[in-house]
Amino acid sequence: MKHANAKILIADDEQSITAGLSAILADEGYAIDIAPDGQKALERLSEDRYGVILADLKMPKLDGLSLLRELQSKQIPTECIIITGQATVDSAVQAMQQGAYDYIEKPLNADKLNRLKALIPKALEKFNVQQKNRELTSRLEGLTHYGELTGQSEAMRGVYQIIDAVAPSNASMLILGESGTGKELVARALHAKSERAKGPFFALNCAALPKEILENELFGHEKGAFTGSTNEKPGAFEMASSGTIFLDEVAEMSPDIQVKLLRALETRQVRRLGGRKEINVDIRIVAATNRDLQKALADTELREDLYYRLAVVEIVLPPLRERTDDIKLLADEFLHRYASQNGKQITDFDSAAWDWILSYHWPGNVRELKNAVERSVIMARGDTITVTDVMPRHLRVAGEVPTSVTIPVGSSVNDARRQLSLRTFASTGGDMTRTAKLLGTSPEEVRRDVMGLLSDDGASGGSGEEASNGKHSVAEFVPTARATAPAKKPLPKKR
Amino acid sequence: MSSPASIPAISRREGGAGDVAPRSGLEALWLDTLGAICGRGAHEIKGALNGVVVNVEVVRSRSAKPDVTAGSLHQFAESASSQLDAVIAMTEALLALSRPPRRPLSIAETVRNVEALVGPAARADDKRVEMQGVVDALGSTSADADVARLAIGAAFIAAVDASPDVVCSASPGTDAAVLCWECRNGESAPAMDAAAVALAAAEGIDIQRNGPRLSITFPR
Repeated sequence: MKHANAKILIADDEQSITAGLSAILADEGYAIDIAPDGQKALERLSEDRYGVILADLKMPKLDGLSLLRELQSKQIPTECIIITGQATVDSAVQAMQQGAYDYIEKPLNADKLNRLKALIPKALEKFNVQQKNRELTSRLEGLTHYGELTGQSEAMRGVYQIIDAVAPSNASMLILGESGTGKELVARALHAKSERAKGPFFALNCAALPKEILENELFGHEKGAFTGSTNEKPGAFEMASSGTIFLDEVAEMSPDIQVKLLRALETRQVRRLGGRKEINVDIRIVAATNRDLQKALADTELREDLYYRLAVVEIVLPPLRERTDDIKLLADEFLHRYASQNGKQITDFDSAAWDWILSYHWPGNVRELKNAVERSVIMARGDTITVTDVMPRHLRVAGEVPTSVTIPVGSSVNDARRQLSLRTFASTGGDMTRTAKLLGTSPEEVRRDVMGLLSDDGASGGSGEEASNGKHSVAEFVPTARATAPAKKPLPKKR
Repeated sequence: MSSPASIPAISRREGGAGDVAPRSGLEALWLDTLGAICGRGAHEIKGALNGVVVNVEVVRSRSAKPDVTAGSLHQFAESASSQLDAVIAMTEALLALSRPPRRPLSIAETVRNVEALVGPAARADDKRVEMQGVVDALGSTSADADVARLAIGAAFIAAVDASPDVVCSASPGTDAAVLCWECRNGESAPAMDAAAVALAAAEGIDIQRNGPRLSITFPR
């Protein structure tokens, strides 16, 4: 049957009908669930996916028409067939005008049931087509996520395209990128998109394990292969057979393991430590490194033949500073993730925090951003995250503060002037005189602007102890090391 | 006991051209009440019959297939059968209320018939209608059967409409029988049609509202 096992929900309070209808449709090969009222039906539809719902117009708690309205307002995908008595046909027609797929009249005699049996596959067909459209639309719309990767920048879309193209093949892949850019997530995405997705995914960090242990982890050992090896142990190549092995920091691998790895890649066979038997393995290798490979090759730290074996396809993951379009998306996602995990009602970053997040150069890449947001969620006391929450202490001490001002279109000239005064004041380490000089104004005006703005910010919902009296402390905006002395060295350049 | 003649023959249905002959006040009130009871009962009868149709269809379609086992049909045949029993019970109640009442009127039988039609419909609307005490022990009343029947039917409908949780209790006595409805969701007992109350009073049937309780005392 074309739609066998498709899920159908029957929403009706008359048990005498639902039991029989359920049996008839189950005989047709559908998976049936029953909801005794409209409210329960809505709950089921929110939790699970049903291709079709058969809903009685008259139900307790939430009638068929109200249920239909709820489905539409909550954008729950399903096709609704209304079941109605003759007296309520007008309402059924109204339901169709509101988006119901069709209606069928009681009593559900043989003719009506045959009509229903013919209607359901058509409704399921429509549901499936629309489902595919929804998936396609969401895939194309911004393409903000790909597997566990997040990003909609041009650079990341390029990465997604390569993964899409390479995933169906068996080609080895080498992922290059700074630490924290998400190399393992790329490997996982490649595995998930490949035909090996049902097989295991094994990740090994070659730099984290001593040579002997890494070799043992990769190739396994036979019983008695070395002192203490009382049992045989399969290695990652065997255990991940029909799956994918991800070798992180592959350039750190010792030369003799590189030889063994090369041989395994060429022959698709491995031999356990202490073993004589060649074991066939069906494996895809994805390797990654954050090293300068040209230098590693020149220094013979990485075998050239192994490099060419691994780098059949090469992906270069951009550092976060080169995908500024994604910083906001990532920060938002981490904020909601960690707020939810920590049970906090934090909804956003305040504007100063956003300024800092968007202007900081994130040398630790996505990992650093993720950690900064997680820490700030834990530290935050209000419903928004301030720059103090998000900026790591060592940066506050070192004095890395935003060197630009973002002024939304439509701001008043006074607001723009105050923002400029505040940021310049912060960049001078809280030196009124120097700020005034840079801005071409007087220290009194700077003081008025800065204090006025801080008061305004506090009154408009600043969080934390500093904001509790309606004012922020200057220390929130001024690096501690510069609070008493102006900066001597130039500020880091905004990238 | 004869029907009271003091009630004017005001019909709620008169006034239209080609209308049937004007009905007495008592008859009009009873037809209104019976209409309300029938409407609710008919909905339940229709629901049960719809269930019968579906269950019979399961039996019919499955029995046409090879390798069908009796076990896969039994449940649906049983279900259709019990739904038909329910339909018969409701239809009998409907017929009993539609016929002229027996004299003296059996209070117990009348209450059971009204409950058989009003109760399931109320429960289908998520309401609770509970029967307490031994209704059978209420026996009969010497009051006019038409008036007593009207009082029972109108009070039952009014109580169920007034509250989502109603308890109907019976207190049989030697000189009088008391039937009481209590609204248990904080509502006050509903007011009944003044003409029905007046008709009842003329026949010695005492209808009282006291907080959430609506009680009818029938003379023996």
